[in-house]
Amino acid sequence: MKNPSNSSEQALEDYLKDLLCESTALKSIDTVKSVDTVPLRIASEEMTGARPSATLAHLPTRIANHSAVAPTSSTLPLRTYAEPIKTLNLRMPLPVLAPVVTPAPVEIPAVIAPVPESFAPSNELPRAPIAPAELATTVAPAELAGEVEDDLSLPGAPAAWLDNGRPAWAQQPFECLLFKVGGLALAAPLAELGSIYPLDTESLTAIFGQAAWFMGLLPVKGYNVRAIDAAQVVMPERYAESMRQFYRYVITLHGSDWGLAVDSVADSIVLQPDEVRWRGQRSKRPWLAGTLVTQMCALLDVAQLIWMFQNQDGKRIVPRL
Amino acid sequence: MAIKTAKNVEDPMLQWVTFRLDGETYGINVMQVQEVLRYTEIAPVPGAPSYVLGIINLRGNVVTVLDTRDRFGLPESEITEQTRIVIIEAEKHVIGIMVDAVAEVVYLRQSEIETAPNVGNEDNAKFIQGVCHKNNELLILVELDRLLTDEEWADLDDL
Repeated sequence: MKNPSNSSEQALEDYLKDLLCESTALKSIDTVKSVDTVPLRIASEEMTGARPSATLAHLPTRIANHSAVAPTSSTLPLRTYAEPIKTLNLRMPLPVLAPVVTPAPVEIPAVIAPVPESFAPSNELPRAPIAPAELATTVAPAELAGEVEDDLSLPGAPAAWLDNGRPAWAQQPFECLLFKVGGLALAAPLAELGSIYPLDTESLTAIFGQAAWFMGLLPVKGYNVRAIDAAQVVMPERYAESMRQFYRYVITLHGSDWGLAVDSVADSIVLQPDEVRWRGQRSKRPWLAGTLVTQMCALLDVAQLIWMFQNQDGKRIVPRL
Repeated sequence: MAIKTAKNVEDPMLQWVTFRLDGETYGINVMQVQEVLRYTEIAPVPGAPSYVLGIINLRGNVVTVLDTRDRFGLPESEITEQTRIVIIEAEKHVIGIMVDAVAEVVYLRQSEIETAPNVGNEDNAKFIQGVCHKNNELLILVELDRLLTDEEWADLDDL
């Protein structure tokens, strides 16, 4: 009998690969082949026991073909290509898991293991990545770090974490999207993200008088994404202007017009809540939710990021639903 | 007819003169534009603020010319064949603003204008009235009346 878990994971993998734009110049983390239109499968009750999701069988797809880290602008496709990440979340039911047995407490060693090779930085990037533990000693730009504490009384403040020290979206196993910014591996909960758009620098409109971390407006599908220089936000102490030339995608934050400019997008993984070392004190870098223990990368608190950006926006734009 | 008129009143069609500056396209209200001149020699005024390039003689009238790049916080650029001086009227003052090139007049409805972000600490962001997607590019609409503060407008009279 077919293993519904394996089928779901394969379909998930295929679908995520389909999201990436076709670009012959990008180097792949996991090299994939380009294919023609692929009919998407519908999750059936027989396979997963869940109710069927909406059919997307005739949605044309294309798998990104990566080959180098720094493509020239002439090799990047002009096609706007995006798929809401949430549809993936809806279509792909969580695998049926065995009962979780809480393991005995394990002391986390002081020395952080090296970042897995799949997320090793490219030699072409200006600096080597720092271990996630180093992120704990850095300070976000003052204009971002200070605002959260001062303006929590404003409407739209993110919900506080629950008493178990985890956010509401991490009470059950949750899906995470892995991506790279300035050579640094990062993760964000899939349910908190919107869509992935190719970053066409020609379409990006810079606005004068804005903060350095605001790259500009990217017109997509009838509205303008506010592109953020993610490297400046998460690692200002080692930021270099040259990092911007490696941005290839903008990942929008669900429910807002804000989007993070990133180098590359990798896979989506399912995490158990205890696979994350959650942060206790978050007065500094409130956007850092915790660290993925296995992948050794930082997990972003997207709601806090949106909150920080909106606090900086003098016009207090209403979040997009 | 009454419905159409009501719609036009509620969502008026506005005309904007567009110009290029540092690779981006900006728009200003056509009603405030008097004329567009080719670049001509500008006489500097000693002691004037950095955003004032100087003065020109326009048919016997002295017109102050502003450095739009400086005002917007953009880097300096060389004068080219496309450089223009746009003579505008704002806050009861007639001044010139130097731009890289003048493009065209576009028609925009009020409903098409979106709010622009304001995440900077600089005061120059207050010039931006909004943004609008037109002809496959994003126009940044400038509110000329806010180009200078009341005090700065008054200082122009003393140049």
